[in-house]
Amino acid sequence: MARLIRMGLESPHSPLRVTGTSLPPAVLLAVKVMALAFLLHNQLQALPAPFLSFVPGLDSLPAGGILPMVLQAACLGAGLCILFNLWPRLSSLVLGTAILIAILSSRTYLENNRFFTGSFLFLAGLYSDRFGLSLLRAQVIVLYFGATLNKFLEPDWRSGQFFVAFGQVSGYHSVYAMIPDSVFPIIGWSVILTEAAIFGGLLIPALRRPAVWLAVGYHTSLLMISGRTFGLFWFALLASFAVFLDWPVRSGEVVFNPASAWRLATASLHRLDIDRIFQWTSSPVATLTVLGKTTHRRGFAGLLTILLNSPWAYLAFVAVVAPLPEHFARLPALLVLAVLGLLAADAFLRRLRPLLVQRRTLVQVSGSRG
Amino acid sequence: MGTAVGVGFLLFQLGAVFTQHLGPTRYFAWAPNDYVVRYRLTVREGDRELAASEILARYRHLYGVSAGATSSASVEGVYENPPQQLIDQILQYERTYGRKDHAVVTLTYRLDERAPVDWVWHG
Repeated sequence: MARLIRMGLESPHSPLRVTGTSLPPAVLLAVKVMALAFLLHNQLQALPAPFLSFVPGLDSLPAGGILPMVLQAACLGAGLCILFNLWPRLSSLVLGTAILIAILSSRTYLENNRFFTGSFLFLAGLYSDRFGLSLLRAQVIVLYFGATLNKFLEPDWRSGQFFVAFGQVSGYHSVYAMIPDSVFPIIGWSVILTEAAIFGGLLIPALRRPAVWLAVGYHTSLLMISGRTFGLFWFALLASFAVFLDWPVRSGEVVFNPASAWRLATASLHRLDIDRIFQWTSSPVATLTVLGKTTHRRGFAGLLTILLNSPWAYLAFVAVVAPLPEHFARLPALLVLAVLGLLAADAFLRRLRPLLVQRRTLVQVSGSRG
Repeated sequence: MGTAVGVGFLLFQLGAVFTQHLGPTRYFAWAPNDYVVRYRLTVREGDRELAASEILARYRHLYGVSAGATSSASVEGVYENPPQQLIDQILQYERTYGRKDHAVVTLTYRLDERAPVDWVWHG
């Protein structure tokens, strides 16, 4: 049984594998997350019959009645094919096109989260090695450009009036009532500038990584505040950031002690690393260590590094979170914010450490001279 | 070929981002949930006010309708796109599926808690 499971996990069609297909690993992981979220978020049932379509006449076609069934079959088939690495590029094209046709066939189905998911999958289906990730990155950048421009041009965002109204409908009247009126424009401008910063950061290669972390923190904070994933938006948008991170790449060497207290976790992580993202070396060291180009992370920090670079961790996260009722959405958001906090603290300490060492050396040198 | 289609698709979106600002809608312009539109919708056919359940069945899906905020003869909800998009949805129905009903539709909305606006359609 264990051997069968291992063979399944290591097969080219393992849902946890993101290498060895016509799509780069980052793109395949992104479309897998989107397909999984789509299938588990009750989106199949939401596919509409043509009604009040954007394209004139589409909802009066005699065969219009069978469109939802055709779309459901296409979405289910393409979604499963993506998960099992069967023609992932073509399947992304089919799933994305099906979502876009559903939007065109019914105004009532149009939501930004569906349009974004459909657009990204559609463009992933058009991926070519010659142009690389450009189209997919451009899709995310266009989204932030549009969002920033719209908020900037709306007087209610600049004046903060939007947040006065949001406070009335958000269920936190008492909290919003305590905020002085002068603060609302500051909140409005903070949001505009945050989205502008993400847009600018994603455009500049050197700033892409901080822009992605800012965006993950920003959208997850919105989820904490509103209690909503906005349909597929949180899953799809966060997944799309994979195309900005040149990820996953060989992330270093894991040195583990097969006799340590971490051995069960280490053995599981080793088996689940079917894309060979890490090089695994057993050694009688005290604890689990991840050796990067410039960093050594031990124990919990090492474990976190492995998880953050493991495709299966993201797929497992979505598999658990996407089917949850909306009122549980804050729990995974809290987890993501906690991880971001740990990463921020780690980055801060890594920058601080050389300064402290330098200062200690200076004190020692001046002490020896004195 | 595929790349040309992709570039065209992105240019369409970029065009929408700019051109949609010339009018009151934001279709395909990446303005996600940027509006708070509290609305109340009533529909009258002849002398009969439609029940909330009939209004919901008429337009199939009205965004942001909460069951608790829906009275017997009107539907109330919070829409998160420009109000014109809600009006477009109602108008398209009344001009096609519902054109023989000669319904009178009244939409009262407040955009971002500003003064209420009444929009009335006589079918």
